[in-house]
Amino acid sequence: MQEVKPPRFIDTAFDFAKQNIPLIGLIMLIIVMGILSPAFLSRFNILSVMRQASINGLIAFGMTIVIISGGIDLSVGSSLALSGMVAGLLMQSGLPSSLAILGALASGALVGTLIGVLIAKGKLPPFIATLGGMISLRGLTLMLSGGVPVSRFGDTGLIAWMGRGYVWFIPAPVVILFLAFAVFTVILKKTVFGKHVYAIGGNEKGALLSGINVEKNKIFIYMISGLMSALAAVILTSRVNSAVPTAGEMYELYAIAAVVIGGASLSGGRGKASGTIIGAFIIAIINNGLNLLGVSAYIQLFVTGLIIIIAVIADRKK
Amino acid sequence: MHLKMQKINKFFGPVQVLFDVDFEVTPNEFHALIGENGAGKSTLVKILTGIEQKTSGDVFINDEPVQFKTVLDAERLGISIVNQELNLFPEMTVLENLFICKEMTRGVFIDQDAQIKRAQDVLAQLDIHVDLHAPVKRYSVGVQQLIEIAKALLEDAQLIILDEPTSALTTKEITQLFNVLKKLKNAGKSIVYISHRLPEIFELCESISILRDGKLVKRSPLDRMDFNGIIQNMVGYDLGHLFPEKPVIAPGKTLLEARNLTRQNEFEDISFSLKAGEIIGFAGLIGAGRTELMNALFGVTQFEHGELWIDEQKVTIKSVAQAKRLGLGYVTENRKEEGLFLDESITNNVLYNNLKALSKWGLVDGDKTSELVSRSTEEVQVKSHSNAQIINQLSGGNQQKVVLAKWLATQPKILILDEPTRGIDVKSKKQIYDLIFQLKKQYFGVILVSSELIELLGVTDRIYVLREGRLMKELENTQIKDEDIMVHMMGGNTYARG
Repeated sequence: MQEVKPPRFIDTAFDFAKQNIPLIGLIMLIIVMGILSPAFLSRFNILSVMRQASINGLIAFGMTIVIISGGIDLSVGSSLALSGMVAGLLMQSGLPSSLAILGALASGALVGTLIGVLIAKGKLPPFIATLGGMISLRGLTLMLSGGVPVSRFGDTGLIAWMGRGYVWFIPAPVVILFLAFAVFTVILKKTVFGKHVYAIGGNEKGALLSGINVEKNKIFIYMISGLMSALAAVILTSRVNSAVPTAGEMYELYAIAAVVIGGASLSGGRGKASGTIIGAFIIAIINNGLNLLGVSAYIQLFVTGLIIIIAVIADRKK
Repeated sequence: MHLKMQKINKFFGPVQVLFDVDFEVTPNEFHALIGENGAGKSTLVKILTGIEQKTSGDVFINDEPVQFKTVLDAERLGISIVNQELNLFPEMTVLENLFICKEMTRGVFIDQDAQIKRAQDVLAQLDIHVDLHAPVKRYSVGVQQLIEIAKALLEDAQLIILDEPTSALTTKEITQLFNVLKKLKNAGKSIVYISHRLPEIFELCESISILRDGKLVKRSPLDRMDFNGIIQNMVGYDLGHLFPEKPVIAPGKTLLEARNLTRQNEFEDISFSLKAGEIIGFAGLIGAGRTELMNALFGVTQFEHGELWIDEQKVTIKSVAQAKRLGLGYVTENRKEEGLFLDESITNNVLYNNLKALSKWGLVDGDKTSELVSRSTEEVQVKSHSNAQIINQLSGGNQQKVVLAKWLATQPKILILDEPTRGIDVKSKKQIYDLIFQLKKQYFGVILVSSELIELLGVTDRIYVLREGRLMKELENTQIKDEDIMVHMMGGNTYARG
């Protein structure tokens, strides 16, 4: 039987490091960037990085649940564009922005639910169902908008605040990001639903035999993912003060990257909200830092790709 | 709990797998359920745990008729199973695993403190010491099994089914498991104990049910049974009909000789030899190390100590390609996973295994291919419309013949057949035995690994019995009785009672 040894400090520290590779990576990255570019650690820049991370971070929280459950959601970028366009069109038709936002959230949740039904009831592989969703939702958005952006929603109302407002000196998207972080941490750690997500991803047959309603949970999981893209859509629409039909391209890949850098396993059963927010920050810092250092956008893309690969290798080593 | 199952019948499609089976477990009884592979044990258990539905028959618990539709139904009635493949979630903590789908909550949140208290109670009761917050994957299979038992108790199970619980455990872990089981006895629980290991059954259980070919052949208190009686009931069959006359030929030169082959945790100190024109058999239970040994012979893995001689040359086989060059062919245990490309044609399946011989400058020679494919599929009598037919559309027996064909096409000298007749119908079985005998007449060396005693007895010249990775016995197949092999597979007759 396992004997419990009193832990030595060095073991504890080492253990902590092994369990928190993403966090250590983030801290190291901050130190390196701080040394290379003094501007990096200014309050303005830090808030700006966090704001950059917020849209990807919100999508990535939804993606975290999907990935822990053993799935993948490629539709989030297109779903974001669609929800943004719904909000834009509703406001253009004269609805108050708060109702338009509700409409956008509802459309995101609905799209997620439909995809969830295809996966849970239709037994489609998540990759295929969401790939189909990704392409057709993009088409739907272009159809709805006629391919033209909808813009200028004014500087008042909830829609203006979501992307451009502040709480004291903190940008509203950052506040929303941390609120979502708190909610997702609690969901994954403290609720029955959260535990079932891990169980489904860890051993789907086992989950079924334990009596977990796998289908219902899966539908709910993809609904949440759709809802989170819609929330990100509202913020993005507000930030750029327009709904663009081509918005959100490649966002699914950055969201997956954030989740994976955060230590989740693409084969399911493992992942944390804290890992994901760190992953989103790492991606944002690399882009921001390389910008500050005057590195070309092409190299930024190249480096981001490398970081994803390194993160997964480092994580597997433990 | 008093469980009574009466006249249980079960069909899978047109195939009947259980015939009027009666099964009873009295309150606080430890009852053994045994039978050979395919005897219907697991089907019966699946019905009892709500995974499968019976076709007809009645189930009574404490004399009340009951219905099972799902796993949850069975759990609600107090029946739990600890499976051979554990149903745990490796990344989740012990605590989370214990309460999965039975979470204790306060409002929408999980009440962790209450769960910890409950879990500690049950674990202390069973004298199991684990860190509730450690992920389950950190613990050995033995401890994981104990966790499953604790989980069953948390669900207030009255009847716990243990399916081959000791097959993956060390001796020490087995002792620990038995201690826990004895505590369950004192707590008034009933147990259905499924195992191939008769000594364990005699140690733990009071009574036994023996299934054979889907029928209950014996139910008896154990103090009225002995080792040989059980085995006779288990294997009681007629060797006569299934097997063609064994060809008698004088064996040729030695094709393969293994000396003291060892691979850590898999097999140890295995020596045997194979001559041209011989069929040797490897017997043993699942996990005895047979497949592991074959993998090492074929270069899938490497043995760490020992010597291998092929054609009187000492060889070290480092890869499958090398094994093929040396004249070995390997029909693997799982034809669907390892043996065949199911969505491809017969031709392609044979081709992929012979690409080198059938291509030049990287291009496949079509004429040569169709010639070789036709020749080898005719040799094994594959029944198909044409060689373009997709493997998936063939019957299990014909699929297996394609596997044989693709290996015969490589012109091997030694053919390893790992469970070649598993899951195929009797007629195809016969054809495969015929084929094996033809190979013998053509002076191939054949190594047959099988869990079916009848097959080993009917086909081979010599049988090697493995247990826990060691060679227990070498038997010339002339005057062997079935029980002899069973006794060696199951751990000797030291526990037998007279």
